[in-house]
Amino acid sequence: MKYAWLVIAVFASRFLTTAITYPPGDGDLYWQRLLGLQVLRTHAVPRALGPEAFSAPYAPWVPQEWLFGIAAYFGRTGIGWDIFAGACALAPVVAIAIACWHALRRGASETAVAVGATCGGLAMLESFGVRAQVAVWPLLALFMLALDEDGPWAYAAIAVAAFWSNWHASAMLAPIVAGMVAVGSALDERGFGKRTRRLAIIAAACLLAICCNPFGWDLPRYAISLFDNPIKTYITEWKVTDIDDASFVQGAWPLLLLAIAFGGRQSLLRPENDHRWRDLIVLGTFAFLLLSAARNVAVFAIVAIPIVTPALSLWLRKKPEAELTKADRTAAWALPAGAFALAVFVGIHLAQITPPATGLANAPLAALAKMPGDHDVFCADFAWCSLALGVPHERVFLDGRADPFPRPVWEDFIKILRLNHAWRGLLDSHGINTVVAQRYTPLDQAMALNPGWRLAYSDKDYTLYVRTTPVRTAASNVHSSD
Amino acid sequence: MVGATQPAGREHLVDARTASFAGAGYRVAYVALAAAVVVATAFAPVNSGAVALAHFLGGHILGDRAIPMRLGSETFTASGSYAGGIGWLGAVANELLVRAGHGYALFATMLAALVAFAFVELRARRQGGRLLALGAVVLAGSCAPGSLGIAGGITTAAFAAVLTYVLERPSRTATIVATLLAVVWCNVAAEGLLAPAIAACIAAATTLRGGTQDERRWSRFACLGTALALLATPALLSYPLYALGTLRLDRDLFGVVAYHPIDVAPLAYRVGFTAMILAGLAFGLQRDRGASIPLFAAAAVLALMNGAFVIVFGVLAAPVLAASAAAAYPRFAHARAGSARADIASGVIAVALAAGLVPVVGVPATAPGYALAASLASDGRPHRVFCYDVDWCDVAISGAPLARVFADGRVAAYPSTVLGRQRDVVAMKNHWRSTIDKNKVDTMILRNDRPLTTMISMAPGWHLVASDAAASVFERAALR
Repeated sequence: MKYAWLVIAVFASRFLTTAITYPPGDGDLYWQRLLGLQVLRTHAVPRALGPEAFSAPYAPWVPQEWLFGIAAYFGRTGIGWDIFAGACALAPVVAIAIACWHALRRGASETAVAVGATCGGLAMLESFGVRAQVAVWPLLALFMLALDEDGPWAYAAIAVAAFWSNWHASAMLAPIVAGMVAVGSALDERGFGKRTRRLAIIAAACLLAICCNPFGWDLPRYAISLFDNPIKTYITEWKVTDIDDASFVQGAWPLLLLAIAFGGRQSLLRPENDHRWRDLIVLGTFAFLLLSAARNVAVFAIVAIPIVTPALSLWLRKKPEAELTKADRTAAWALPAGAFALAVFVGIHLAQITPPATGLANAPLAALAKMPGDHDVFCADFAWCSLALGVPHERVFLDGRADPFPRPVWEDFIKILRLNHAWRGLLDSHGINTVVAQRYTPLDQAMALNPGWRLAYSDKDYTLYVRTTPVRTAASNVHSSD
Repeated sequence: MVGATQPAGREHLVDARTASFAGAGYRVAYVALAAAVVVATAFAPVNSGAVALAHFLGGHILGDRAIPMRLGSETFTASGSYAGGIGWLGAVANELLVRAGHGYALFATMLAALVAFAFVELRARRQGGRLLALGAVVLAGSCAPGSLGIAGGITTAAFAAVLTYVLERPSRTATIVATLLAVVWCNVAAEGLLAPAIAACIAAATTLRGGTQDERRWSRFACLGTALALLATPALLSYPLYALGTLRLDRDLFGVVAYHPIDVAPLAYRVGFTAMILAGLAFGLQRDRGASIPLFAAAAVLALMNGAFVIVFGVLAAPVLAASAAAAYPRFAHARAGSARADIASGVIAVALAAGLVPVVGVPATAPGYALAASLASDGRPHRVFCYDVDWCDVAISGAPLARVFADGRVAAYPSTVLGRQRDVVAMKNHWRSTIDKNKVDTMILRNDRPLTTMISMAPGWHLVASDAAASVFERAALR
């Protein structure tokens, strides 16, 4: 790991700086802290939205990130925040380190592992944040490492899956991946051998393990329901991966190309590799996930490093001078030069980076809190409305909890946001009396022309509109009875 | 040429166990695939914007006996801007085919598709044998959805497939043929710019795989020849610059044109591109690994940059994968040449099928949005048109002689300021209302269910004239 540590150190500094210095770019931490507080107060995990969500009061909810919520609550300010954010920054570092160690155990060379670590770090840059899905990256790396064990330690994967399921619903991957590894192992062993039987048991046990959380079977059921959930259309990180995703181009894509270049029977699928089908099936599945959604870029890298780098190492191994081809000679200088260029790129990137804007509508919502009356709020970015949770006399149409809101609510949200021909009717029918928009956006411009509304607050970034005349709907009746 | 033998030193790929496949079963499969290509092309949607632009340019060239090198009065924002006459030969050919009848244009597209896939098969067969060559055609075909219609991009794929086939065996003849092909390609379309890029990838491959001195020399000459071909167009030195803009790879065009694969060719990206990547993982770039990487990687990046090129990735990379599969699993590869007569017969059957199918296929209805743009001519009045989708305005300038547009699909010819304003109006930013007013826009063709459409419908003076499944036309009378 001597070269890989150097690479990991560069990324660690970047992750740590980002996590501690920069304010969160989304509203998730706000509702997660409230969730943590609620769990600590009631000693129970809530299973439904409350009346604060006026578009879907008491809708069933699986707060999959409940353990992260508790941690977020403890780490909300001061030194607590530094520790909490620092721990989140360590997550990708630990994930890369485990993946690299895993690769070394599989016979990867130091140089190849350093290349893998560089690609892995770059693949994580865009997705990184103080977020639950980042916190579980090391668990995925650990899970893959455990599955590769050829002994009793492999059963540790079950414990990892159980722990993982209390942090994030992506634990659903555990039984699926274990199952695929078992199938691959059966192909490798050409039968139902000892290792395959063990992996099959682990896969079955993982299915039970991911129910070892406050939600039981509801967690995998929730994860499955996400497959055809339309909310993915409206969330940036679920968009289909393309070349405009920097982490894909700089991190995952090179790994994928390396996997293709060094795949096949001479390296990845070489007959002496006794887990070649396992590798191929896992890599193929995660490559499919990679191309399906941008949020899988980092996950792909974690899985690919231990598989791709040993294959790369075979190519990088020293050959007798007489056997060297032109491609070998080119690689001898091209790979170190490429790694150096990547390191320079990261250095320049780090030097040039400026703290991003918070991207949260703190100011208009703070102004709203001082306004008299009850407010049923529509936020143009649903994550902003997380800041309104728990504020007296404020209810939200849609907030950062996102998943539990029913499909019709999402459809209406997008209709209003895109100014569908029915948008004004939807504002009325839902009883929305407050709209927070980003300045000069289409919704802001349309609200300015919307009769019955007035501009109650504006700054250089945001505007806040309130109704001048009350609207009577079923929703407003519920509000008055709260 | 058909059924070329294996290169020296590849005898280990020969496996008699599969040689029997090269018989009748193979010929049936070949004909079935060709029939599938013909039928899929017959019913594929037409790229209305590209056809309209070709009709506009071709009509002017045939009418005026001159190639218009600048934008004309059909646009009121960039009249006189240099356009370079990019794609003049393709436009003339299209116009002649259209004048002859829709069936001729369709037949030409079918032939282009057959050529593209035939050369995929020929390249794959060289190193992978017949069975894997069929697999390569299927794999390339999975990248074709969205590209098979008239002006849908299959012609680009055909040029790329033929050029790569020629260049993969470097020689003096190959260099001359490739250069001539590149000259034709550059005059037919902006995609001719890809010719030297392909030649460079193959020259790199030839060097990396340790080709003979002659092969290395001729592959470099081919690079030079195809690069010089870029200058053999009416645009001369300007061709590379304007052709590059026409390829729509520039990220500055975000908001003006669509280029993400999932938007441009969703099915081809989800199915074909993903299948190619997964096949790559399964087989690896086995044979001449270092040599295959430049072409495979460059084609994949091209497809990722603009979904219109997923089919180009398919035709360029599928044979590479077939060769890899042959090296990884020699039992599926065989070098039996087969019967050239049978190949020719299969080709004749495919062409005959295409010719027989063409009269049966009716003229397809114009796609929503484009149809509205075409209908602007119906009132016989002049219009100053803003199109939400610039490609709709291609149809407007082509079908409505009195229509003048804010911007059309020739994005490379428009100044960046105009394109910036187009983007601002679509996104409702930066004084977009004054942009519309100052330019005296009196007709807007807008995508349904977009904020701008609702804002225009609320704005005083504008009224809805027509709408279809994709778009609505708004007009205002005050400025006329």
